[in-house]
Amino acid sequence: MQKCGCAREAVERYGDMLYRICLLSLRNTADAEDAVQETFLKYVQRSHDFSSAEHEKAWLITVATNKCRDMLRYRTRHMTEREELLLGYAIEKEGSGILDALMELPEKYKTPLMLFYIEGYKVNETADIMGISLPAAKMRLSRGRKLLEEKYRKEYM
Amino acid sequence: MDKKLKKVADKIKMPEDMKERIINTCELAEKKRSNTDDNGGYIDVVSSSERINPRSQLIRTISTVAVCAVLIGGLGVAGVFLQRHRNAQMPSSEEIDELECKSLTFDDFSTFEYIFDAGDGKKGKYSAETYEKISDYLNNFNWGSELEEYEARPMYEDAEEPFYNINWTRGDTPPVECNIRIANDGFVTYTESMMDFENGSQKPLTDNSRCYKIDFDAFEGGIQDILSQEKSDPTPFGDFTTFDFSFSKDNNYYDKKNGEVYEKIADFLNNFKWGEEVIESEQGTTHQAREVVYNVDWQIGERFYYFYIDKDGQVNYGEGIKDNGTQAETIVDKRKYKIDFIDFEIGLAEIGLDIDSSSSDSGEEITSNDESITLSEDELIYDADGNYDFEANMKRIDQKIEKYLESFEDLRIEVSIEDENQNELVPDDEQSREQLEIFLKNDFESMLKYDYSMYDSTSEGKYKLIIVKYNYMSGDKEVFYKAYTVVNNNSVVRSDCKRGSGVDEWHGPYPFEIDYNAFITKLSEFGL
Repeated sequence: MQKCGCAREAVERYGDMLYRICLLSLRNTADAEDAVQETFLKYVQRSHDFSSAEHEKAWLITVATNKCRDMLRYRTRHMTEREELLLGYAIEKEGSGILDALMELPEKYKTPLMLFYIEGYKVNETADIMGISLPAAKMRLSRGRKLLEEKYRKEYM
Repeated sequence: MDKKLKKVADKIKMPEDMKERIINTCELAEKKRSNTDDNGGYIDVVSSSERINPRSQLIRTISTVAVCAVLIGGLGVAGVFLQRHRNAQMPSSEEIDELECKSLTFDDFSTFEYIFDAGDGKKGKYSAETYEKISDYLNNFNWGSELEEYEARPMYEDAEEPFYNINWTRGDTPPVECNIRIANDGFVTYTESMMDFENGSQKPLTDNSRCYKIDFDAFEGGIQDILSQEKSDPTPFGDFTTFDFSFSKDNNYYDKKNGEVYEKIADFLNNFKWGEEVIESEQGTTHQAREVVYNVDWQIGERFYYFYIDKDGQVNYGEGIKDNGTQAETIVDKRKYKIDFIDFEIGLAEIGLDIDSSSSDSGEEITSNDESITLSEDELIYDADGNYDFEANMKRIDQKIEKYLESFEDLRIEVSIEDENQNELVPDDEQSREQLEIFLKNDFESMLKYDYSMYDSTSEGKYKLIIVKYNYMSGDKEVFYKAYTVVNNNSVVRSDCKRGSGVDEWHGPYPFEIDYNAFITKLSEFGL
């Protein structure tokens, strides 16, 4: 994999995916932009090469989800920040209830659901990216799915 | 629903202008990196993960300007601008020299003990090493000039939560309580108070109050840098791998003698999310007796520590000192936390701890009374164990079912309801059908109460019945089935079936109680 001169290519290739993950996680377009930007900055400044495109993609997702987690932790600790709840993202209003329900889930369920259902990762890959055990990933997916279904049906249908 | 989720999420695209901004910033960083490599690492400022072109904050703009300054001027010195913006108010080395010659804004923090409360729940419990760094930071921080009276805000006038509090006692007679309150809008208020001998209250010494205005982000950035280096314990109770503790549930005790299991418990306790301390006012004033499920205790030197967890997930922590002479115990700290009890139990189950049986050996088969079959860990064979009450047995059974079902990634549930003649009851309109499905999936089972006394095998055929069926599907295959037969004498009987490869395993009947009239009323809402 190329080390330098790859910013545009990488943003074009993975920008939408990372933005989706960060936006759903942070629920705020400006923060999502910051998280994606920092992810790509880390990407262009990294000192190693990737063994494959999948490795590259998984690395980017890991960095982005870690960044989101840090930002959420900061936000929780510093409750002053007002959340502009997802006013700026461009998706059709119709059918967005499922996303609203997803965004309201705790992070530990939201991330595996995003990786599994939206990004199409397998359970073991989801576990690897999140740095958790396979049973834990299964458990979180299962509970997350249940919570999502309950929340969606109760609040958004 | 899963497909819908993907379909809707896939519509989220990064706006083109945002994409361009990010590309520009990254290309800038790439160029910077390239120049750095060419210059043998002369400039290495951009290699940090500092935001280079973040939005919506003035300080972010300053960072961007700093990047340009480095690029245009090509001077390593310009890299100073790229230092974390939180250090903006930190004095330069020349200024430090100067500072050392003049008096400090406050007392020299390295010369007395104080509590630095960062509002992170630790109440200033940091290591001596961290305190040393904090003292250095506070002593060198540029607090600015004291504000004139009209600029200063009276203490507690605003509703802003103070983000940082520094407290210490000056050893005058009587002692003077000193406080520095640093609010998130940058106002710093220094106050002193002394005990009033007439009524015992703390009386402010207003003449000594002072107020400053600082760059809060700069202050916080530096402090967070220091606190982030703190090698903190993984839990609010300490690091369970560094001391010997005992863990118990009911009559099951685990301590160091249990070897691997004990180590797993220590890791589990260290990694469990205990959350923030629950402050007293949030807990209400009721002090009802709670059913304690788990107990953990340990001792370090003269200090003893314990916490217990009740069924509601409330964790009560205590810390005390035991006098070796008198054996008297004095509690010095008490805290409460609220955890997700189910997560806790699931976590214990995941490390192989049998949270339900009286045996610590989770693989052991448990024989039970003549009403039951056997319980095995490897297969889904279960029934009531005579050593436990009915409710405990049912909870264990339900947990095992849940665990079994979780192994199917594509699990979906199909629900249906039938009358006693096995005719399916279907509401007329689409909305009612949907609402009925929601009710059966989410609410019906919460109407049931475990009650062994409700079971009457002779009741069959005497009463009116309604049957609620749950079919658990993986792909096109049914992997589990359970059916509740609701009888109009308020009793319910559940039968389960695990669909194996070739042989189905039937279990039950499990009796429950229900308010039949409430159930029928609920069904009538769907037109049934």
